[in-house]
Amino acid sequence: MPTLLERQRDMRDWVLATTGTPPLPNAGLHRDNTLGGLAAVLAAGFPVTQRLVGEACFTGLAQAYVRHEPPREAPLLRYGTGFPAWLTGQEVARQLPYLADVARLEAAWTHAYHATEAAPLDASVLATLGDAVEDAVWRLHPSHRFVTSPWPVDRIWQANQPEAGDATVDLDTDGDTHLLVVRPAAEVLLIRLGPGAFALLMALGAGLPLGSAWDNALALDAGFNLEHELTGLLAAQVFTGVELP
Amino acid sequence: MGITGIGLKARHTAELLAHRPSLRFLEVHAENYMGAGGPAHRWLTVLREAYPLSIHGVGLSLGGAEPLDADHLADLAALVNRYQPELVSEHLAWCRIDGTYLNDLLPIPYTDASLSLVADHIDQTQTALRRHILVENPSSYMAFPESDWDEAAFLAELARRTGCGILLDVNNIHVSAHNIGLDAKAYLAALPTGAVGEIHVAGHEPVTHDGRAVLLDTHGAPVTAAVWDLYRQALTRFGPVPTLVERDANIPPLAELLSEVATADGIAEVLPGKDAAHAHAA
Repeated sequence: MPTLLERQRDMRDWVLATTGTPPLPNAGLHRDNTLGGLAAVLAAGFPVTQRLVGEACFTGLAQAYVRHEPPREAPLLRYGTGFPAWLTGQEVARQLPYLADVARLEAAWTHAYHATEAAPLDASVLATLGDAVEDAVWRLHPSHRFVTSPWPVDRIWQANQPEAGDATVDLDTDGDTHLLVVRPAAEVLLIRLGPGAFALLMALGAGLPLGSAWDNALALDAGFNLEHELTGLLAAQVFTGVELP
Repeated sequence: MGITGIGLKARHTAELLAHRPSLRFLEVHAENYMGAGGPAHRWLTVLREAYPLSIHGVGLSLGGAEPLDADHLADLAALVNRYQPELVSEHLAWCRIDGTYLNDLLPIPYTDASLSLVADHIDQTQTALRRHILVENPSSYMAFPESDWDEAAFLAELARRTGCGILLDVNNIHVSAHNIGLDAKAYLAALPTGAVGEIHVAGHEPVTHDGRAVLLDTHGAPVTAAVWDLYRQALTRFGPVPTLVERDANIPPLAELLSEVATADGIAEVLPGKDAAHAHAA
């Protein structure tokens, strides 16, 4: 008789294979349960990607991904982090060139949704800093992710929300998308950034002080208006702290 | 206050908070609360004030042939510490091998070797959590030729060795009885009366697989009459222990679940011996 370890390895191999003989009668029910359950987890995490390719196509993709990269941790909240990158190698991603970028946006959304909580920056702190504010490091909310794409992935995402109706997106305009995905409170925010604001936040996210980050923004966008951008970002509560180095 | 609770589902959260229906407890899957933050924790923190909690793990792989995932056990201990649930439970099953997780509760053969292994894993869990846990009987579709214990005796021996309690899923007994030929009555009789700390009732669905009629444990349909009957027998033997109406698929409106809660509470109300017990207490 096989040992317990052999039993479990045989079962794993068979569940994740596409062919073969079941190790015991009814083992197929467990294969269906694992693949079906994990495909449903991916569908819940990537609903727009699913809508773009259709349910049957998505299930096929999801099950292929599960076999390629089964979960390595028990919670499935983060499962599918590698799905967008894997998707870029699939035939459907050549037919829908924005598909993998939409999936990256959905992965960023999921990350922000489950990310750690942090209290927003109290803007009155800024007044106490005076001119030193330019030397300060501005902390972005820990839930944040940046997503960039040559396609208007935020418009595609919005047009494919359940409440959106039959919205259409012009793929030839509004491309060159820079997004900040962040959850300062209960709701995940998708904030479309201009090239200057994107450069500013990338630099702040990397730990540069505001003055240097501002220079980065101006280098990309000579008309960049720091005060205007910061007012909007502060109102969205995307910062959690300002510290002098 | 009855003895019955429900699983917490996102679609019911607002209604639970607004109307606070009388429920013995709310049960959540541990793994769904292992994100660092997010709305799920915000809701649970508020509901924790209104209802006792049961934390039900599905990913610990107590029956796994490899050592327990230390990171996962630490996360479970942190979650239990954070929410201080009344009940904590896991499964007599495995889901992890060589670090890969299958999203399933797979059965194990019942041998002396697997008994020692699972008992060690339960000991390790109870040490990490600093409390006893309840261990749930699986729903089975496969019978192992090498099993030389029957499942109820195996569970009873685990409880005796580790002090763990038993989470008795009567739907799983019903499903397994059909699929692999367990005797449901003998199963109940083989469990020690003091060890059952919680009961699950759930729905199942008949399917055909490879030409065989199988009952699938889907948690996606109302509880059947046969399962309610087995529930009545279980309460008669084990007393009015906390009970979960378990629904994880085709989630109905809250009112529908509450009517199943009322059914379970109604069965507990008319238990044989209950009046005598009341009279004695009076």
